[in-house]
Amino acid sequence: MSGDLQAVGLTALLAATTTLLLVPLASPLAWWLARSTSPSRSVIEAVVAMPLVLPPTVLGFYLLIMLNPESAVGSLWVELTGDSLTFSFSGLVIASIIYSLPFMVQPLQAAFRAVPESVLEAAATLGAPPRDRWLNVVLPMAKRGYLTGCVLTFAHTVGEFGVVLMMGGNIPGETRVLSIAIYEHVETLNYDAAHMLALGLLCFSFLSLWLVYRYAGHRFEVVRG
Amino acid sequence: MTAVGLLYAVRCSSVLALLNLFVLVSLLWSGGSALADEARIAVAANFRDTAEAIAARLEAESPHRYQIIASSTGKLASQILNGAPFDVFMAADRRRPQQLVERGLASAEFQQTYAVGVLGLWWPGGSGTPALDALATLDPRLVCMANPAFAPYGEAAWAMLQNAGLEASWLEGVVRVDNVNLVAGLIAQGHVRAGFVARSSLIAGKRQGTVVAVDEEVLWFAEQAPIDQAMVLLARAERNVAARHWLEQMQTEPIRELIRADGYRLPGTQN
Repeated sequence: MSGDLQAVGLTALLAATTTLLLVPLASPLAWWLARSTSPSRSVIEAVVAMPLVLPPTVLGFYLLIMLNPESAVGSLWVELTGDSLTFSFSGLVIASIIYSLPFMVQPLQAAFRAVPESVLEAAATLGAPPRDRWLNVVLPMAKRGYLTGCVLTFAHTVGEFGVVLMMGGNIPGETRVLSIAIYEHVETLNYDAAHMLALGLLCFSFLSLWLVYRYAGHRFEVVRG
Repeated sequence: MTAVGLLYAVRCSSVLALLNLFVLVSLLWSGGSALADEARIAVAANFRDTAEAIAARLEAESPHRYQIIASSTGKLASQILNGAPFDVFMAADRRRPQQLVERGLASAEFQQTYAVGVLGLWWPGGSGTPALDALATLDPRLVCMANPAFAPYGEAAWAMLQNAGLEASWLEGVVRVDNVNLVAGLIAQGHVRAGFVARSSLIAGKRQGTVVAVDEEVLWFAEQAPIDQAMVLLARAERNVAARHWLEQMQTEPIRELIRADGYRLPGTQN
């Protein structure tokens, strides 16, 4: 039981860290995708959306190759921290950022696209510096996009399984997230514990999506349409 | 559009700040989990319950703390090759620990067989003791074993089936699962009719009340296919006191008794 609580805590920490890091990482990217007319835009858009269709095992496999202690990135990390990136919490954060990128970028992109150029020009004419225009015009208008992006990113990270299976290693307190804990309970015929966690996740998924549809759905649909 | 450029500048600096924060947080996080008298024991799936019992006993008698991580031997070995932070590897074969020693990822110091597993064919509801060649009367999709590609018990089961002269087309259809522990559960719940189990899984299942196998329903291969399970100290744990303590204790009588009671034979003995 205490092991399950640890898995819940670890999963929440992973999802929160991923969401917090993705907000600043995805914002400029989403802004550029929303405003750019460059021909390379569709290429970048496709790359960002790839985790939506790629099997998690493909992502997990490449990350395993890229981050293992013998690789360039992996060995640099070992030198810096003394620890391996694969089968560690830090490695999972990197994996989750990539895996959940479209879930943050796409709602933000839709929200930014809905900010009319004319409003920004009006603000500029009235003497608002860029930073001011961003904080007081764009951000309030994109609020719901941020809500959607954060909830979806958090929920999607909570539901991660394949990538963690490939490069997580089921280490309690480090990489043993909820989905892995359920898998292990089923494997050890501990169905009661599996039921409890599975039901918990079911309710959580419903609540997250309900939150999105209740508070941001309407706006999101208008933008899409 | 100049706004975009400026926004970039503002955002980029915060990205850098956040990346720094990330490195810092992960440093603190990883530092916290690497206490000196703690060891991570990667165990073959069949040995999970026994390892948990040994850990409980050693924790009660010493200041050391143990984490048990169970999976199939092949998967654990590939995780270790890719940098998994384990301290001790309790495999279900001798080959993979040996490979790790050869690659410099494990030390030969404690390398030895700690238990001999017993493979069996469990076929409940059949007439009397099951026979290998009678398996062909079943649909192969109702017969289950651990995946021979990465699970030693599956490898042994595969060899037994091939020796029994079953047809290749039938063999191809047999259900292969992640590790040997899953097999007993699948049979107990009626998903498959027969399967290759570890004696330890049946004993653990009986203890939990989830698996009940009668002696006559199992054909044991103790002599034909003994599963030598070897352990090694992994290179990163060369100075880990808890890990060394674990390996030393495997030779003591109380721990050997624990292993024996869970359905294993001990190396160098007959029962």
